[in-house]
Amino acid sequence: MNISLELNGRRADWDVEPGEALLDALRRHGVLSVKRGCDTASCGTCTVLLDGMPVPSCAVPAPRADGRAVTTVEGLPGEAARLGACLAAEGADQCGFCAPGLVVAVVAMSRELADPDEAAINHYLAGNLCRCGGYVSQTRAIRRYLQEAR
Amino acid sequence: MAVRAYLKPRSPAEALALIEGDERAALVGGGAYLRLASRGYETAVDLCEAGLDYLREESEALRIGAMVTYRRLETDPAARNYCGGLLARCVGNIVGVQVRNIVTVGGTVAGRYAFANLTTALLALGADVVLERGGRKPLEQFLADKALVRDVLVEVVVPAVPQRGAWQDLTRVRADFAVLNAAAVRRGDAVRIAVGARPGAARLAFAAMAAAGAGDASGAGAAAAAELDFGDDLRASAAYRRRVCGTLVARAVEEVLA
Repeated sequence: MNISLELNGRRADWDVEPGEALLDALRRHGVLSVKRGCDTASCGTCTVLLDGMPVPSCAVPAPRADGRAVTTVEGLPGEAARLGACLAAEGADQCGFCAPGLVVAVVAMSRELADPDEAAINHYLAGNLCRCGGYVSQTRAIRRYLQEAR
Repeated sequence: MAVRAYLKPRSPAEALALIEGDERAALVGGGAYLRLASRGYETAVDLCEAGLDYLREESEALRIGAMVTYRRLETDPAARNYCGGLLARCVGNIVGVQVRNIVTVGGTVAGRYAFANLTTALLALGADVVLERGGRKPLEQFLADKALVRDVLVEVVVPAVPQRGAWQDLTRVRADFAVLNAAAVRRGDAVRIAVGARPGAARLAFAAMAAAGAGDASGAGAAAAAELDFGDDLRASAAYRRRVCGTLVARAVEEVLA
């Protein structure tokens, strides 16, 4: 079936399977920053923004993206560069597999929450797992990013 | 999941017409479990454009459209402030924000998931469900109805009257399904108590409700532990759940009696 979405600000006309997940459609169309982690909506590594809202793309049917805006880390180059620099500076980059989903979730959080403290950050990002276990340094990097963004 | 056609009806009536008499058609609420569906469907009927994502405050009720997400229970003032934040509290630690942005109230209730925190809270609140064909009925009755009727859950209605609510759950790690969950809601001197993830589906604890109505929180905990059935699964044993039940129910009742 044909769907038409706005991908990172540009119109995309895709032929998708009716039972296909948005994650698979994205990766099939070369958007490889969106990682396949658990594939069961538990790990957050496939996070994208759907009309600005963070969602696990592995659990969103691709047909549901028809007529809507999908943003991946490619659509957030400025934020990704600044948060990426903070992650590197705090030694939080680790293997990097969870980073694209984390960046998307942190951007969503920074738009949604005015001035989150550490507890609020940890609560908001509880759905973004890091198998390297880099949470402490990630939280440092995110606080630094939010401070610099202010 | 293998699907041949994907449809987005514009109303619950249209959705019902699409699934009626067609065993190969499945409703899609949040869609979070699509991935795990083992069988294929001829037709997926997605309710995302059926006009069911409303939260409506009326004088004596809060009407929650079936497609309202968990996240909206946390962020929409009408839901967030309802009954001391009971609805927001019971879903606030479920996986992460991403999942709570897609999981829906209707998908949870219609799925009759035994682990669902929300169903336990709704049972304690005395919620009704409204079905497109079946009309309005108490949630208890809907949950007990084993016959799988082809119908569309339109909304959940909870009473908005002076009441106090308390939420208790125990998880092995914060974002996991609960080992056990419990909710208590007090209206005047009456207290309604529900316990879920036993790991069976949520049930009202009637003896506990009687004890709580008489002002006895620890008695309510002991009564709930005695009257309900518990089972073993990978998260906990039945014996452990029974102990936890007494404590969680007593804490919830203490909170609403205070």
